[in-house]
Amino acid sequence: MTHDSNTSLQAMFRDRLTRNPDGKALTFFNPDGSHTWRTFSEFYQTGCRYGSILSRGGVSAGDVCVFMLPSDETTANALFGALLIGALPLMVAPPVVRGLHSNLKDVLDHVVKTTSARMVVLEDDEKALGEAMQESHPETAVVYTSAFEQGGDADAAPLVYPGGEDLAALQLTSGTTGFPRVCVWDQNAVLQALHGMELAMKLGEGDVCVNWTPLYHDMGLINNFMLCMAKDIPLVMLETINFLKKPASWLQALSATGATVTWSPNFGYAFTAQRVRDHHLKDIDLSKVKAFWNAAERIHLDTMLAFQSKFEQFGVPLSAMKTNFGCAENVGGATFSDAAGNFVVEHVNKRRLYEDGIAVPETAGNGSTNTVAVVGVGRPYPGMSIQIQSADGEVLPDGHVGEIALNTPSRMKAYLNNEEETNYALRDQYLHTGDYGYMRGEEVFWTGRIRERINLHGKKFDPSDFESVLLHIEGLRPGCFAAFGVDDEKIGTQRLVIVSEIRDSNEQPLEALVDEVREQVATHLGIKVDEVLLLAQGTMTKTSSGKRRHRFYRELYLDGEIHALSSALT
Amino acid sequence: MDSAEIKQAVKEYILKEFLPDEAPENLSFDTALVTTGILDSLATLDLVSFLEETYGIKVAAHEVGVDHMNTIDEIAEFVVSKQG
Repeated sequence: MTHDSNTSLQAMFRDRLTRNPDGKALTFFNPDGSHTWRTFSEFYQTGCRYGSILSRGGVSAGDVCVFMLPSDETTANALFGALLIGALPLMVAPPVVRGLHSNLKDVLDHVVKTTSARMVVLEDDEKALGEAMQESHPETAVVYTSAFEQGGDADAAPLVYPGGEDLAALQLTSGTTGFPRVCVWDQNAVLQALHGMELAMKLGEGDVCVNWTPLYHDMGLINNFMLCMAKDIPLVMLETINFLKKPASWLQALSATGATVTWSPNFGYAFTAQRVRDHHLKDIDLSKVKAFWNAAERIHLDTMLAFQSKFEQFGVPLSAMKTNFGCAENVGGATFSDAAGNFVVEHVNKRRLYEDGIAVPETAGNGSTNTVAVVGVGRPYPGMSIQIQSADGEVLPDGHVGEIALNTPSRMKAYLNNEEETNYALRDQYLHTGDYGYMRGEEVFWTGRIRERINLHGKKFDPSDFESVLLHIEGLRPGCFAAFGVDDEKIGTQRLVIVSEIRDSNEQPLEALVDEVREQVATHLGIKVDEVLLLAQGTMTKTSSGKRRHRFYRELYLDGEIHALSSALT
Repeated sequence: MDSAEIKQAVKEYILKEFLPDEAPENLSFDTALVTTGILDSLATLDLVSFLEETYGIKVAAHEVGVDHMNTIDEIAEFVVSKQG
């Protein structure tokens, strides 16, 4: 079959196979430091074998294949196999701690129903979930990773070379109904994104990338896996769980493989700087790493400086710290700080920024409480343009805060089966990101979210995610709650705060109610509530919109104006 | 190391790393840790790393769960079974 390497991911993979079959493609870095490189030819062959098994299970080109798997070697093979046969992979986050996330079945139900998925792939020890899924969705095949252990015939994989308008993959993003929305990416958008990233990051021969971020996150999937596979960049993967257990393994992988590029959300930098033990740093050399990219959540200047200063003695100059802004609706990264220089920071007047929406630079921070440091997230990649728009769609001048809108060739095609939200996000030729920011020349400065969104360790939650959990707690007044994230520079990510009214009829001790909120959220969503504030029935100020309510209470909280009956911090 | 010593070491680690302001008497060996959110996923994995390094055991991803790690009692039992 003929193919043009400019039209699809699959054609780019095939082109790489022809040009450089024996080049290093992928290795998994084990906790003991061992790792074995696979050539692209070997990885391609394995992908074909996996693709043939998926095909034999009923998956054809264009079919959605849902993977709820950890980011390990089997998953990388299965993901690649799905892509090679033209299936549309959709990665869903598995639980990190087994026995939590009891809402996973609901999320999978929603995803399978929304996408009409042909297959769901689970780990072998998720058979109970698999059986429940099979019962609910008899038309969807449920298979387990052991199905890939043997069998399959690489030569029998029905390889495809889609056109630019054909779909490439799907990606979940936090929704407004307690369930994720599904972003649809076509081949053109993915290829444009990869091309833009290659140019902006100045990638080339000799680059090696290390990734610990999960493949269900667009940072792991696009900025690492697809970028490296399509652009002939050797990729070193760490299983996310191994990084979280021992963050020094990230640095060890960078050092041992001579890596030049890596990515992490802000929390990863804070976590690593705080958790790495000195005895893990023996013989570490990070001097080859030219770019530590930081993206996916608010970038804290203190985190960047703390990481760089801690590891400066191992070869990390300030110029290696890079910033980026992106969102699932725009495939891959959108803006990039200078690949050859330092990232930009402005110290602006805090009152003018938050009250007037105007960023007025002041001389250095000097520890002043009147200024706030805003980290620049870089400039758009070549081929993309950006506007800052007012709520009326008016283009705002430099330094004025508004919605970041992207005129981008890598924008999503749509939210799947969600015309209303698609039309809202993709109106007037621009992708409206829902993020607030301002520009100074071409540099973009990110300042917050229009819709309240909680970002915990790079994973995004909508306040509505908590509604169904809180509804089941006797003693809380249904629907009368606010959930929001509060930036915590020490941990480099947000803390989760929940405020709720209690019923007049509640007879439980307040402490027990607080404990139950924590327990239910931990059990259903697998996350920790950092603070619970309970208020008397009828005391939460009404707003016409839930979106405004969460923001309103966040501001009250930050001003110390919430007077709770009971509050509990951990 | 016997179960009692493991329980005490795990308790001390949790208090030091995750509950620095908590009075030791408020953390019992049967206090639920994961399902109450005292340990979130990051803290649970940090504790797993501590167990692996301290007791020379390997904990597989599927073993990191409520079944083995919700209380100090369960954690100690799990470590002993791994050592055995």
